[in-house]
Amino acid sequence: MIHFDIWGPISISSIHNHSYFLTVVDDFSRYTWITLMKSKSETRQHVIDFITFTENQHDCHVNIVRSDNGPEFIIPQFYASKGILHQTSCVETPQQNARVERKHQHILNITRALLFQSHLPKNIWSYVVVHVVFIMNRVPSPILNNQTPHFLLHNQTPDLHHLKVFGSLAYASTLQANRIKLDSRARECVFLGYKSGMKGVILLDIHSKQIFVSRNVTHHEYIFPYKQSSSNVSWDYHTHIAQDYEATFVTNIPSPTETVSDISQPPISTSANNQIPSPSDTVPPHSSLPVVHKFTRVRSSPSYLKDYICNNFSTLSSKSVNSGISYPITHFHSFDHLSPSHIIFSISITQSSEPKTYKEACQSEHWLKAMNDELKALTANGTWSIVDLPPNVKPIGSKWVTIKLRAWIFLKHKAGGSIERYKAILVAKGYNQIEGLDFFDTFSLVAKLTTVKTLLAIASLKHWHLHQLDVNNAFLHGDLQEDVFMNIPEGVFSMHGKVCKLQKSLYGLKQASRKWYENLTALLLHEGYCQSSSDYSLFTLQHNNDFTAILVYVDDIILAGTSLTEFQRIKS
Amino acid sequence: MLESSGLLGSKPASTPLDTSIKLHQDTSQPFEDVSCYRRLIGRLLYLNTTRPDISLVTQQLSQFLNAPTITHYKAVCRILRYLKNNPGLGLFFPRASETQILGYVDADWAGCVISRRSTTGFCFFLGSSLISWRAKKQATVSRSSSEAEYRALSTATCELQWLLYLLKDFKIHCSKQPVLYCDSQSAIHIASNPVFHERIKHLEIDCHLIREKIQKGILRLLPISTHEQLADFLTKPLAPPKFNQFIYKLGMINIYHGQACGRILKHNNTTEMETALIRDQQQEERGGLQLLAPQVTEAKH
Repeated sequence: MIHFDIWGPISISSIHNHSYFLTVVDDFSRYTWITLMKSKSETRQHVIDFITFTENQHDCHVNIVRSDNGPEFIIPQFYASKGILHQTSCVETPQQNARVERKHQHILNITRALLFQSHLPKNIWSYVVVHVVFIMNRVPSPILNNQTPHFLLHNQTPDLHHLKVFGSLAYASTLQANRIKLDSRARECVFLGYKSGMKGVILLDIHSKQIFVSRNVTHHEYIFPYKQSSSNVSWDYHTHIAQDYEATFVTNIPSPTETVSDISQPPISTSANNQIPSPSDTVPPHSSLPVVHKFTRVRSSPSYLKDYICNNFSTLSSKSVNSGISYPITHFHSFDHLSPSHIIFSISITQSSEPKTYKEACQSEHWLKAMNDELKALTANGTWSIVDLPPNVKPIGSKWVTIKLRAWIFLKHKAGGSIERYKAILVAKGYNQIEGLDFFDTFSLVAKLTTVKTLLAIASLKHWHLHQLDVNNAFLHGDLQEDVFMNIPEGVFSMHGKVCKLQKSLYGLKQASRKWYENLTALLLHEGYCQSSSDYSLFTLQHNNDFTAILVYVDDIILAGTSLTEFQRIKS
Repeated sequence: MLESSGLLGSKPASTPLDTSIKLHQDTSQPFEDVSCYRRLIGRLLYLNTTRPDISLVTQQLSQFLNAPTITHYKAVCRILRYLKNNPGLGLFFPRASETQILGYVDADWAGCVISRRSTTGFCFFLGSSLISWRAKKQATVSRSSSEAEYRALSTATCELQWLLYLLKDFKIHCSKQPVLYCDSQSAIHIASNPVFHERIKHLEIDCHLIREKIQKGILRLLPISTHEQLADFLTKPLAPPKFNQFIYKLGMINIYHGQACGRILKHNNTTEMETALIRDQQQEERGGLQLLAPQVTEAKH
């Protein structure tokens, strides 16, 4: 059973001079077909065509045709030849033809919505109506047990992957034959629906106002180029983006009214010139069957992205990274609800992120100061001398390290939220060192923990004083016997061909801890201390009745003994 | 450790090792994140510095570093849950104690299921402060439990000798002769006299080191009943009541436990004034009271 009705005429005829459309609704599936018409007289032929179309395409015969009393539907000879019962409504009772009348209401509701959203001129309505029917046939309905009309008719679920927002921005690639190397590769367009019978989309060129079909299109569904800048009604979640685009389009479209007048004429002429058929002219819209098979190729993200999680692949291809994100994190996580002081605190925490590279560190005054301090200290210590690079020597590199071992060690947040201490350390890339050439032995012993416990137990027993020392920059005190050449660190003005010849050891060198240990041992022995043979990191001094023990664990030192004056002497 | 392993909300356990589980190279499902397991064991080994109570289980679990299974990982989780039970537990070094070294030696004969090797366990006290302990699988298989104990004795003797050298370097004079307690009568007999030749003739010569040391009078070897054997916790997993008893005997206290401190102080017969004095001294970092626990050292930093 088929329902027919004509809608129209409308005062604004479409850009192709259509004023009417014929709506056909299938009673069982509620599948809707639509045919644009310039005058009512075309109706009769369209009805006959449609009935032939269904017989051929769906392999079934139309039993009943229901329409109003319009004379264009009265074709008794044709109905009789097909054996079709023609039912008409009574005079002045359109509710008897309710199926299709209700459909009209539905179609026009969505049409208005799409026009408002896209801000396209009203004479585009013919494209909108066709697109609306396309959508309606793919929307499930409760009266169809939540099936879609498309499913009931074709017995297969429609593919919705290629659905795009009507009136949104799209870039169509220009034809290869018509462009030279320096021409733009794409045209800025507006999406106007699908071309039935073709695997392509209908587009309206924003600049030339030409309507054409293309299949090489990049869609930007959240951008509506025709949106007025004065309009406050907008999709709030991408307002700023739309406005960004406004700026670029303002020159192209001076005013909405002008756009309408602009757009109304050229398409017909251009489409004639370029032999790009306008959809409603050539292919009857009701032959929308092939549309189903559009874009059957499965779209997959490129293989280089397979190791990453991409929420929305289209974000990557879009010009503006923000534009494709439908649920930006700022909607779910924002500082808006915090009190002002809390905001300052949160920002101060997030701001104090550690720089990753030297360049990043240079951005911050504090880090620059920290690095300068370190360089000054190194120079004062005589860590290196700048020499010419000897031949056949490959210098090792160096690196700035800003360590965040413990937030309360290096980055001390004061109550106000400012950071107390920045520390930058210059580290040599010791992993490039070659054994036998720039280092020999690396073994450096540490105190045995049993010794530590014994010392503490004895100190407790004998009521000794206990002090703990932490040597600053311990490794920088070791003297190097080997020739180690290092590239001039970043931040030092350098001439080509010059390198640093290290005099003192540096963090990162393989022999650094050994050199420090040797240096300390020599110092303590010189001070009269006795190295214990049971634990070589233990040094003792018996002076009259005073006894002092020093236990060394790399740069941590435990001092234990009876005399505080001796402690002071050693510390100094 | 609890936070990084995601066990912060887990239920605390009273002992580090389930007495019913015998850890060995089992056939259960392999634990996939091997590096995570190794990292955890490494941390536990470091924690061994101040926590003798987990040394046995760490010794056992560190044998499976190359191919841990789910069972082993569960055992590690059990240790972490045990640590959660009393994170403040640490060694207590009382200021009033004698300068005598007391050692306890024990062995778990054929403790390893696969290799049938025994485990040595010993701990040394300086007066009443625990300073050294060890749980280690022996290098060779022992034919009898006395042999395993004898091997353990010789290992402990080496440690004792080293401690004595260390004390000498500290210019500490031991008031009494060092004592080594062993709960195996036959091992003591072997150490004292060359008896049981038939059963111990295969023993390596270096094991007889202890005999020489005893004859020189460096140490005394005394028998002890199994119930008072303090090295027991280093050779076999214990049930909760006995385990807690051991913790107490080892001189470990929980610094977060106010009563524990009070008990220790009372134990030392100090008056309230003295307690205050000690507290002041502690603040001045003078070695009055020494609590060895990771929390304390961190606080000092």
